[in-house]
Amino acid sequence: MGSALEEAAPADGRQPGASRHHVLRIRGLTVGFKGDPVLTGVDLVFPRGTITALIGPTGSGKSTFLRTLNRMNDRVPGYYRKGEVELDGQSIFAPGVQLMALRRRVGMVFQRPNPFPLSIMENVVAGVRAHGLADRAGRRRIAEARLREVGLWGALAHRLNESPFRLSGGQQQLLCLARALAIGPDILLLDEPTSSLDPVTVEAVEDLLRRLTPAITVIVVTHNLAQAKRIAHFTAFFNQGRLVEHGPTARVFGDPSAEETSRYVTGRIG
Amino acid sequence: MASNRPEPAAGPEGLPAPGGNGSAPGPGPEGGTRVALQPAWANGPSRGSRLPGAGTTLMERARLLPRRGRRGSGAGLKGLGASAATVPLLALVFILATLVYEAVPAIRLNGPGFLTRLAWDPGNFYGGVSHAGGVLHPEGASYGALSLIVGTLLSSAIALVLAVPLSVGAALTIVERLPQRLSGGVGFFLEVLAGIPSVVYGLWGVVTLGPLLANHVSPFIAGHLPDVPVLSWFKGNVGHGEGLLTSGIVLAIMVVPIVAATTRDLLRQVPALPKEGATALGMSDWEVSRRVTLPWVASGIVGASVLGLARALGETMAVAMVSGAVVGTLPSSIYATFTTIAATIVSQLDSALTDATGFAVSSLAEAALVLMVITLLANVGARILVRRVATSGLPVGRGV
Repeated sequence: MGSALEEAAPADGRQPGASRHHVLRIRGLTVGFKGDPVLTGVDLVFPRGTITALIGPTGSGKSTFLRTLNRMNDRVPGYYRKGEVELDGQSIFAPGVQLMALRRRVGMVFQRPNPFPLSIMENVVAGVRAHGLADRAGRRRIAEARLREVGLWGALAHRLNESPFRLSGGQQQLLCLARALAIGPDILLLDEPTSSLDPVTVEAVEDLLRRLTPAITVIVVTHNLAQAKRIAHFTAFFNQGRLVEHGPTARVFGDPSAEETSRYVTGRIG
Repeated sequence: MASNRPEPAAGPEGLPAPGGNGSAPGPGPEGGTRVALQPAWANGPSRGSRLPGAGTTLMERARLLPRRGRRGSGAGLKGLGASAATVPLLALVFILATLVYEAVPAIRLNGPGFLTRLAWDPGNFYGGVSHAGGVLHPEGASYGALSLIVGTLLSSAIALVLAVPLSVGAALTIVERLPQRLSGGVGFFLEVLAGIPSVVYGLWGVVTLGPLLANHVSPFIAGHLPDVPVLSWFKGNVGHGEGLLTSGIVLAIMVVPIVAATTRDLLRQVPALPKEGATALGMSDWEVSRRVTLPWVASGIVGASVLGLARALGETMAVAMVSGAVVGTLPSSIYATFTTIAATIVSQLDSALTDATGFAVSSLAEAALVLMVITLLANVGARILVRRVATSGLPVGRGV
């Protein structure tokens, strides 16, 4: 576990940088929707500027966990929560927290591409517009920069006013990535972002995620263990609503401390 | 009609005996009468005589039905479908033909000026009869429908301007904001509203809305607007409660259920994923609606508005009651009395029938023809608009 790393005391302002190792810290998080909890007593830290893969069988609570980090579960009927999620030492559940501001800092990309019914250009800058981050010229610059970043600019530069729905699934997902990056998040949550993509695009996405660090902290739910090994600095293994094991990827895969983990990463369960 | 689609209701008769003979799984209610499981084309006229679905097991039903075995019923349905499909077309052609036939004398005598003249003068039904222009008509008869056309377009435009934002807002509220139980209730009232006979709206307009507007609302608006040329339309004599504004509001109330119910159904189809994506970007509910939900259904809202427009253009009774039924003048303010094509037809038909030359009825038929053309143009315009809006290319058939 990452507890070996000593952290600065929380709540001393939010200076990014070396003064603090962990951008996100989860304490005793229990989440459920009516009935039994989906997730029980999760303690976890996310070191700044790293990629953490969340792995585990279907129904293990990874996605619920991910969606708790930007409070996407808030509106789900019956949702309840115990425990804390601290972003730079501040609770994201504190009464004064602005959801919109939180989600500006904690971006999210979904399993399936979900472009808006706007032009490609407007898709990329939809968040920029909503948060009022840039004027017209600025938005165009941002759109170009982000499309270049995700490797779509060459293909789409002359099609910015077209509908995103004519793009291939892979291009749509890259567009959604560009859209999430355009508002400059500190943390990017990805929920199986490549599970519906072709191998070439998967590689492009993985490359992109590697390049995003250390500027951005990436948390990615994946069913693809090879992908976790390829890109993640840290890996957290969830099973049946519990965090079973967390540590550097090489150790979790090579020398897991829990029997469950060992069985999962060697393909014997899940 | 998709008559060839295999449907379980068609019964088991079309099933071939599975795997040769007797290997059918499970004894059906018919016991040993496996004859029924022979191919239907071998089964002759007796097929179809039993209850559909009787005696099928799940496995039998799961088998794909061979096309051949279903041809008989398919052909019958096809014929029925074909005739059912042509009936509306024939009805339209028939009505149009009749209308044109009736209108020919009026078209010949009134000429193109029918569309541009203000005067609507039936002439003297009890005076002399003229045969000028080869058409029998009362002396002095001269029909110009400009005031009717303008009245129709204006009142419908006011109705749409009021109704569309209200309807879209109501639909958004019902679908996105209200809890399930409440939204069902509100939807129910919407449907009740749509079902109220127009004469009831008309009566309400005359008795309640008109006086309310004339005594309280209109004087206030007219008295507090600055003297700017554009706004002069909302100033001046506020009248007695019959006129464009009252009609526009009554029409709007009649249009709202149509547009709102259609929009509500459209909004329910918007997939959750893009909305969720917008929320995850930090958009407020309002921004999600504006940037994702509404653009998603934009072309549908245009279509819904045209449905409403068609209703407003053709609405007869309510408008006849609250318009003031003044023929032959163009309204000078939003409070002015006016009339529409439909209202004029209903209010003048009775007296027109006393025109022994038939010219008055013919002129009303010509007016009706104009109304049909206006409605048609609105529909065509809507299609063009829908196509333009829809070029943003929504994902069709992607099952998003």
